[in-house]
Amino acid sequence: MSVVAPAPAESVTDSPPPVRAPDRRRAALGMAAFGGIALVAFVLAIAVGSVWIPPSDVVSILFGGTSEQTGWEAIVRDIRLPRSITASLCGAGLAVAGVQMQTLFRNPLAGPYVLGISSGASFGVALVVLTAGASGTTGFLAGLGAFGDLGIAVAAAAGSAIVLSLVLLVSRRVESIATVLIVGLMFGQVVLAMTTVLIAGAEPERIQAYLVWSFGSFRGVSWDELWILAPVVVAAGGAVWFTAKHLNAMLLGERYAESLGVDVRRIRRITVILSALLAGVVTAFAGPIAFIGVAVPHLARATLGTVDHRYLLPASALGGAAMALVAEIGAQLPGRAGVLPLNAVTALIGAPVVIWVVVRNTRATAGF
Amino acid sequence: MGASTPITTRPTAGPVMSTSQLTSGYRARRRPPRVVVPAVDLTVSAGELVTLLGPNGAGKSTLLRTVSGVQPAMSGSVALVGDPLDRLGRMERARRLATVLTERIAVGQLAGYDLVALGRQPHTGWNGVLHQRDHDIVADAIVAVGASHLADRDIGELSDGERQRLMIARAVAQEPAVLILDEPTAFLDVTSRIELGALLQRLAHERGLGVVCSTHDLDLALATADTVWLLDAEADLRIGAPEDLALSGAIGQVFGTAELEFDPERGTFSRRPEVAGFATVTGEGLATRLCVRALTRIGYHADELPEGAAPDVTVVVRDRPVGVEFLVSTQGQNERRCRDLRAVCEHLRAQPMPRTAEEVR
Repeated sequence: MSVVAPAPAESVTDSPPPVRAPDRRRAALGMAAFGGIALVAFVLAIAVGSVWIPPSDVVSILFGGTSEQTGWEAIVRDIRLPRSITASLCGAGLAVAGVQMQTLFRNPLAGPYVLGISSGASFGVALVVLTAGASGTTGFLAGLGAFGDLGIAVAAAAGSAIVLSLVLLVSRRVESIATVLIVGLMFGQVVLAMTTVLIAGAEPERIQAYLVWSFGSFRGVSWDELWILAPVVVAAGGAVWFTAKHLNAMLLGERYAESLGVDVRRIRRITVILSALLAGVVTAFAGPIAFIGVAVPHLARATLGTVDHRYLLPASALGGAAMALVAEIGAQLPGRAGVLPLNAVTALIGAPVVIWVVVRNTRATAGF
Repeated sequence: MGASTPITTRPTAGPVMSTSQLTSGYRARRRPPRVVVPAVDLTVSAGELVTLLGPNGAGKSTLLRTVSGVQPAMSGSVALVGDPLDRLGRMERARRLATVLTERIAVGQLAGYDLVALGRQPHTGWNGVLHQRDHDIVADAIVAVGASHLADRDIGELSDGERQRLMIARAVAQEPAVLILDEPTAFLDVTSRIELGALLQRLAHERGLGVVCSTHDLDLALATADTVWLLDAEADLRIGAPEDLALSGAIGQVFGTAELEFDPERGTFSRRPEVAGFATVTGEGLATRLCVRALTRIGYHADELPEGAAPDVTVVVRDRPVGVEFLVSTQGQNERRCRDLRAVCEHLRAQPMPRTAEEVR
């Protein structure tokens, strides 16, 4: 035995390193990067289109200046600015809803549409586009005229609201969150089947119109419609921010969250409603936009290096806006030759980026 | 700052949790209610380490879920630091009682420190911002469980034992009066299990936490618990110091089977040998004791020979400069020199077993 006075077991080994909170510089940098990309993409998305408007002119027009080319101001103000704002809002809303669903279901494959939102919206739109109005080609045109863009948005919103209400109704009686997920998926399948039946019996021109809607698009949303889209996305997204603390607890699973004082049933309900609101309103105006809602949360986690929702939510909102804007720019690439389907572009641009990030940073998969 | 001194002071004596005629079980719709553990009176004092022991399916988890308020009691009540559990709000309950569960958590991109910091949730505001005091408590909890080196590691890349340690730190950071652990040793290897026992003992004795830990790990319970709640397959609950329950034969009754025999003095179970003989081992030191063990393992009664019994086998253990040597002689055979116990066992196994189990008893 040594003659050294006995010390507590812990201090026998050399004193432990001081315990400090991990610094958040990486998270802050990542968020700034997403914000920067979103800003640049916002301006570029206005610059591209059938007519190229140089970014410097775009910036001066946005800040109230004039440009030498007559007509550019009108193009920016009436067409491209609403388009860019729509893309930003839709991307942000879908990404935030995606984070919510992935955390709620603790499932990396979850996204804004797992509870049947897009299937419901698709069914609503299919019902209006495929069956409304008299039969015959003139009837289709009349139907489109009668309902218009806003009519389609209302149909999509109603469809997703009905499916969501059914899911909520069933999930009130269900203890396990995994069951809620399965119920949502099943409702989605049923509604999808009904849509398929509608398509099978519809005229080719109407099917064409429905398909175009299902490709997704940020174009054609007017300022009036933005006055509906923007407040809903901003308000619902802001409300999600207030659940960040409890979403962090939910990462450990519902039983641990419960033991930390979280009202799990309440947070579950709030999360489902807010994410449905976000995904529903986006789908109503822009169609079912796949990919962004599932991919951006992974991109954000890998970039920030944390799952803390107080960083993850705003970063995902910025990243979602950035990815939507980049996809919109990609869709405009053919220039005068027309536009590419948005859903094709989001996947074509997004998938390689996500694969690269996730594979390089293998922890991201464990990370969710 | 003295890192090992707790920041908060807790009552060092007196009950922190008690139950009165608490019945736990399940009420399901359209089914008769199922009582799992009927009417029990339990007390946990500050600084006490209680181990809830029982075979699988005895109702340990149900009882723990009921005392922690996750599952409503069928009848009776639970008091937590003086107040009825069902009158406490969620947050207040979380400030008094922390839980560590069996389930593995599947998160990555979360630093050990951040995991422990989640324990501050019942104490922080709506957005969970940590103030300096919260950071001090988190750091203190991490040091208390000996996990300083894990603070900035991603929990996705830790071992089960390391993650369990951080989950306990998270519970400590919650500053509870009562800490409840449901089968915390389930996924752990031997070393981690023993370390966990020592840790729980420290948390109870040095920090004054009332710790209740369910396990079917008998060794751990008997070696560390101040009090054992022993639940048998019929949901009968017996309470006492581990040694009391060993002395009364309760542990032997609950866990013993036709093949297993409880040794109250050692606190371990041993297999009842099927066929056996008598052996004497002479010699000194560890090698001799291990030789006794080896012979016991292959079915010889080698410890103390009963009065008047003649050994069937004798082993002489000799310490030679080249190493230990075992001289084995069996009845009517020449002495055999063995260099290790494996050779001893192999040699003896080749011999016919001299007696039946009944004779040895």
